[in-house]
Amino acid sequence: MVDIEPSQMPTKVPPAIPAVLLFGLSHVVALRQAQADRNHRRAVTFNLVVEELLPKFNPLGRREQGRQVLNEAIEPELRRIVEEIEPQIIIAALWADQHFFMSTANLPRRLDFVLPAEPDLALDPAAELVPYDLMREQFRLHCGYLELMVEAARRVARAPLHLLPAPPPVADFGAIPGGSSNKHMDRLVAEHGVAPALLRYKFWRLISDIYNQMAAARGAKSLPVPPECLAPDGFRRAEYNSTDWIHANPQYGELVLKQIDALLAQKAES
Amino acid sequence: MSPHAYSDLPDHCFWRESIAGPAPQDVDPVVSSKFRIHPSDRVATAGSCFAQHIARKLAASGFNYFVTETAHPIFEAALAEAFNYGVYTARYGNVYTARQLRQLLQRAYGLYLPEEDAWKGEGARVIDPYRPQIQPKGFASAAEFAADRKQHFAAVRLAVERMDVFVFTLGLTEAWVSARDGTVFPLCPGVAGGEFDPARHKFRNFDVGEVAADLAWTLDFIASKNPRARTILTVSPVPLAATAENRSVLVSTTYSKSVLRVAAEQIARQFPQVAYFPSYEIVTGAHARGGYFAADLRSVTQAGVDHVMRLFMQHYGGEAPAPAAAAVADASREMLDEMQEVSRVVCEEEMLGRR
Repeated sequence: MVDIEPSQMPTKVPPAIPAVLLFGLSHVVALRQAQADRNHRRAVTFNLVVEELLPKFNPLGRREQGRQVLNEAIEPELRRIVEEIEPQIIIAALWADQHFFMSTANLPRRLDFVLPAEPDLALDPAAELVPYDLMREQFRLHCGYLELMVEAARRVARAPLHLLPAPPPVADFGAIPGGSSNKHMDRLVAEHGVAPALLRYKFWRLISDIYNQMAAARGAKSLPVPPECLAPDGFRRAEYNSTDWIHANPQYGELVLKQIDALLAQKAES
Repeated sequence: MSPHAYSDLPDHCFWRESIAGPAPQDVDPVVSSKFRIHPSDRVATAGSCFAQHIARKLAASGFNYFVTETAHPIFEAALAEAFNYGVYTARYGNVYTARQLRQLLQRAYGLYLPEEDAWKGEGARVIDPYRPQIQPKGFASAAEFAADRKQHFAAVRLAVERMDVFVFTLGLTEAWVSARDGTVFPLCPGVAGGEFDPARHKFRNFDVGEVAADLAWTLDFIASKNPRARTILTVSPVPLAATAENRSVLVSTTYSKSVLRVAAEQIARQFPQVAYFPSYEIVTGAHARGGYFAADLRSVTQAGVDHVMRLFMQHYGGEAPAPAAAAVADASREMLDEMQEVSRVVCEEEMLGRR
């Protein structure tokens, strides 16, 4: 759970470096790897404690009488960690691949939508238009367990809660021969073709909209996407790609660690 | 007593035998139908609020309810309905007047462009003046509105050109129109969007001649695009919620329904492909003793709707219903389910592989 193994501890660790709890789904990996790089460079500035929820709490939730219910083991475990490490900041990486699974392979009945924030983006001429508000409502339902997770984190700690966005989408899947890293998704892509990159971008923005509003409504803050990783067209710069189509690499993780450094510095000043 | 003109008439011509005598639920004023609807016939619907009942029942009764603007299968049914998918054949919302229907077709075919084209909503949102409640908060942007309307008009054209039967429920004669070009608004500007401006918006109460002329134009137009299409006209039994005439809403209701009923009669006699179905009479007739209206004396009860649709099925259906064709429609839904499963697995597998 604690990333800094005793054998890897820097020789000159400040006497009391702050603790940061990072919990969530697979995007925590890039940050953990970046922290490991810092360890190697003797550049650790805070103690990053990583709690990866899957497969430890599989499934994360379930439906009961039409309502989503969080896995009952998650909140006590978060509380235990918080009491143990007393984090100054909590980072939640709950946005997984909600944008990715809908926009990687073409649907048999293709769809597209207009982003209110970027209404001039082109529409797929082979797709039917669906209302943005309807998309938003539909995918807000799919993100229901995220809300429960944020609420659980708010209950167990007073420390500020920041939500980590998913890395920006990849524009060119062809540049990453490793594929989606999942054979089922790869089969769907082979069967239906790759969805237009712009649709992936729109989905990413859509989920971002849902995620940010959900965070704000529950007293959490959304970390901005590190501007260094964004290409002019809003996609992820290639140098931050990993070996699959969705996750970012440790260099991206380092950008986020720097954001956390800044948050800690602000907190210290205040 | 010598034989006379009424001597050999069937029971349905006599009030006592056909209306006062039978139990209310057994009264059948339809008597006969001009044509039958085959289970494979594509049945399109439009009209005022009561038409929603008809559409819903058609869809549930084994008719081939024709929807040309369907919700994408990824959406939950309740959400899709909130955005007016499947409520009617296309997402035009309630079409209250014959003039509104005529202008809808004109606009869909590019024959008419209203001067008042869009209403400003909250922020960058846009309200469609001609279907102001089609989405809960209007359209999220002007670009979405433009693209959606283009798609909507294509769905209207497809309905016109492919339907076999069109069921249109006449609802109102009163309307608010543009003072500049006469375009009909389904709702008074300001009620569900837009701003009422007495200089730009004026009240109209259509008369029999106008309603019949609008219907005749519409039927001729449909026939020009789709000669095999047949039409069933009905009149909504739902009273006016309010009148803009300075008189009792009851008097205005009687005027409106009378005009619509007469216009429908004229048109059904004039056009061989048009039939009249007496929804209005089934619900409001004395046999029902007001029992087909809910406590608000406006809403039609389920029993009233059932009576209407039972007779509709009996006289216009009558053949074994075709099973609902859902297999093709839901390929995307199945794929979505699979993707969601993949999504869950991707997370897990990815995590296992990157430790």
